[in-house]
This record gives sequence, C-alpha cells and structure tokens, in this order.
Amino acid sequence: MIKKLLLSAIVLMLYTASSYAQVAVIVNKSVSASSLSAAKLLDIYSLSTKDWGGSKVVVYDRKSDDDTKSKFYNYVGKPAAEMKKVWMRVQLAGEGKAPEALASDDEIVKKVASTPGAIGYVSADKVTGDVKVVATIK
Amino acid sequence: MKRLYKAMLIAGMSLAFSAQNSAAQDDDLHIFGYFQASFLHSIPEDSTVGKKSNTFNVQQLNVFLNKNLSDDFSAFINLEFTNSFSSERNWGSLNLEEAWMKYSANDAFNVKAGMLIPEFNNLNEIKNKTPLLPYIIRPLVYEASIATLVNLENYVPNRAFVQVYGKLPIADAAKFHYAVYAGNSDKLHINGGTGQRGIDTTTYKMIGGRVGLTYDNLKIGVSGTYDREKPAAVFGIVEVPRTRVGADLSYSIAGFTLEGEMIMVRYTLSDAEQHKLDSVGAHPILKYSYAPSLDKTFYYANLAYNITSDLYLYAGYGYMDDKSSRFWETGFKGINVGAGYRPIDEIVLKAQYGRYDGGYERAKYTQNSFYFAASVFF
Repeated sequence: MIKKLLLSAIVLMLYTASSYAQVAVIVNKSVSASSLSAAKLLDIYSLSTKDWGGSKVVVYDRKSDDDTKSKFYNYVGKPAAEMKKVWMRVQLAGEGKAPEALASDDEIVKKVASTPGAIGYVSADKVTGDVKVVATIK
Repeated sequence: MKRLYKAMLIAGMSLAFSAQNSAAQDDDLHIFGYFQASFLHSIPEDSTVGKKSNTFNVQQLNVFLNKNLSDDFSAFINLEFTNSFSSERNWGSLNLEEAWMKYSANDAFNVKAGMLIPEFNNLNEIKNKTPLLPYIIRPLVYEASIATLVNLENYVPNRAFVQVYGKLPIADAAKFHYAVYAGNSDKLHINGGTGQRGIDTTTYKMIGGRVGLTYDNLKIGVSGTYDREKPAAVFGIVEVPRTRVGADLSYSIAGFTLEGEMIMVRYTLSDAEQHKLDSVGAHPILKYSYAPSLDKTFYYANLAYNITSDLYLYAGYGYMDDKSSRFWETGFKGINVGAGYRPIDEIVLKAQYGRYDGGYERAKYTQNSFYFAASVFF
C-alpha cells in the first residue's frame, strides 16, 4: 500500500514538473537582440519579420504537438493550427516557406547554435551555453 | 558481428541522407500547389440571362515552383489550370499567372520583377488561392466565373511587371506597409484577333500602389492605380485616363473575422468625350444597352466565425455596378452564407449558398446557387 502511494506521488510529481516546465526561446549567438516580446515573436513566427536588421531570420519549429509547443503558441497569441494557415498564406504568396520542424529539443538547440540568425523554442532545462535565451515562458 | 555491421551501415546511410537533405533544403526547388474541385447546383429565378446548372468541375488547379537563388534572390512561378482544363476537349484554360524574381534586401525593401499580381486592397493578391479563402464563390470582382459577364480588369489590376514593397515597424505590434508598382494598361493588350500574340505594344502604362497599417489583428489600407482604358467601341472614344481607388479592412476578435473592401473606378473625360457618351445614352436603340457614364463601383463585406480552429461559418454581401451598361447600371448584388471544415490542415471542405440579383427589365438575372467544394493544398 505504501509502495503504491509512493509510486503515485512520484508519478504526480513528475507530471506536475512536466506541466510547469518553462519554455525558453533561444537564438543563435550572432543575434544581437537580448530579449524579445510576445508581439515580436508572433511577428517572427508569422514570417512577417524576416531579418534581424542585418542578417536573415531562420525560424525552427518542433514536430510534436506537445506541451512546449502549445505553451509557446499560447504565449505569442496564435494557436499552432492558426499559425499553419499563416504559413500556408506566406508560401502561396511566394514570400517564404513554412519553418523547418525538428524532432527534439536537443536537435533544435544544436540547429539554433550552428545556424546564424536562427531562432527556436525548447523546454528550458534543455538550454545549453551554445545559444542565447531571449524569452522565458512560464 | 554481421548484424552490428548492418546496423552501422543503415545508421551511416541515414545520417548521410539526412545531412545532405537538411543542408540542401532551403535552396531546393520547391514544388507545391492546390486545387479546388466543386459541385454547383444553380436555379434561375425570374431570370432571362441566368441558366440552370447541375455540374461537377475542377474549378482551379495551381502549381507553384519556388526557389531561393541566394540569400537575397528568389524565383517564383505560378501556373493555373481552370475549369477542368483539357486541350483535347477545348475546356478551360492554362495560364501563366505569375513568373517573377524577387530581391529581398530586408523587411522594408523588396523588389519583384517579372509578371506578378500587384497589391491592391486585401484580396487581389490571394483571390485565386482558394485554400486561403473561406468561400467558394469569391466577392464579385474577384470571381473568375463572372468574367464571362463583365471585364473584371476594369475594377482591379490583374498584372504588374515590377513592384517595390515592404513594411516598417511603427510600434511593437504595428507596422506600416507599402507597395508601388507599374505594368501595362490592361484593356490595351493586343489580342489574337490583330495577328499579334504575346507582345503588348501599348504605349500607356499603369502605375499603382497600396499603403496600409497592421496593428495586432487589425489590417487597413488604401490602394490606387492610374492608367488609360479603351471603353467599348460603340462610344467612339479612343482611350481615357482611369483612376481606381480602393480601401480595405480586416479585423479579428474572439473568433470573429470581419473583412471588407470598396473600389471606385473613375474616368477623366473631356467635354467632347462626355458628349459622345451622352449621345449613345440617348440613342433610340443603343440606349437600351448603354448608359452615359463609365464609372464603376464595388464593395463587399464578409463576417466569419471560427466555431473551432477547423470549423467556420460565414455570411457576406457584395455589390458591383458599371454605369456604362444598362444591365450593370443599377447594380449586381450577391448574398452568401456558407461553412467550411478542415479535416486535416491541407484540406478544406466548403459549402455555400449564394443568391445573385442584377439586370434590368430587358435582361434580368436572379439566381439561387448551391456550391460544394474541396480545396486541397499539396
């Protein structure tokens, strides 16, 4: 009985921890901005802003529809499904392509670290010193 | 050992393929497109020019090719097949809608050169991009099927050959947008009947532009073009200066999206030219077909509501007139209601009811139409 209770408590703690995990918006170290507002992030992810004022913005998204993704898109104020429609419009107008979607946090961190002008969002505990954090979403 | 070797070989090949793929991805030729297949059931009501229809159709198929030539340059081609295109059966048409090169210095300065659809109000650039539109039958002057009844190029510019455009941040969520462009005066195009094809020898050019503002979910703008048009031969006027002025607005809040536009087309006529129009308008026979003005007006409004991110409803009203024609003089009106559902991101299933009303006592057009369509992005 005690074992079961203990197990339940651990599962609950893990669930709670993952639910409240922070999301970090990361950029390549070549990007001069030190912080980005939700409105600016919406602009960037809507592919409306395409340059940092000198270098091109390279946007990365994540493949899985997980908690990190929904937190990020809630923060910028446009659900992921709506954002896909925005990308379709941009693509059909010949103004760009939908961001490349990567499979994992580690992959996003690596890509952002190695691509000048890159931006992505990951679970905050996956951030390394190779990238710069410009926003944290609780 | 063999198994380990096999696994290493497969892993190595996968890595090599994915590395090559991702490195080349952004510069690859990107081919994509969409089509809209539809069913129309149309019932004339008190109509002398409307007809009963009950038909399936691939209304439109567009294929796009897009390639980044460098960090700053890209190329874009848009091929459009309309009305179940078949050269064998002589159905529909195949058109080169767009073919342009873009230079993008930054967000504030971009140049497109080649053949392009210029910015004019909210809908012009995307009027043929059916997956982006909630409706099946578009607001009147953007609906290609009405082109059999009236020349829609009179209302909106269909082509330009160079466009400079961009956006400038004003505040955190606000941006100023601009576009200026130049092209040929559309009605002065040389057609096949003259023996020349593919060469536009017109002297006159169209210049135009749009300035607008976006703030959060609000988008507003004003547009204008100036060129010369050749009115119907019966008026005996060679060419007259034409000004098209437009205004557009769209706003989204709490699942609702309101969009609207208006366009006014005005002509600068000399006294002698106005006299010619007046003569035709007073002619004992011609007066039944032609009216003594060239001015034109269009407006529409559409309200959509997203019940969920995949399901929406909408209702809209549109009006257009052409004061040079008795049929169009008093206005052609359309009321639409409809719904759409996205089972997946790439497919929109649409249904629409439209009631269209126009004409005068000699040629009436009142029609009730039911449309069903699937718009597929690939």
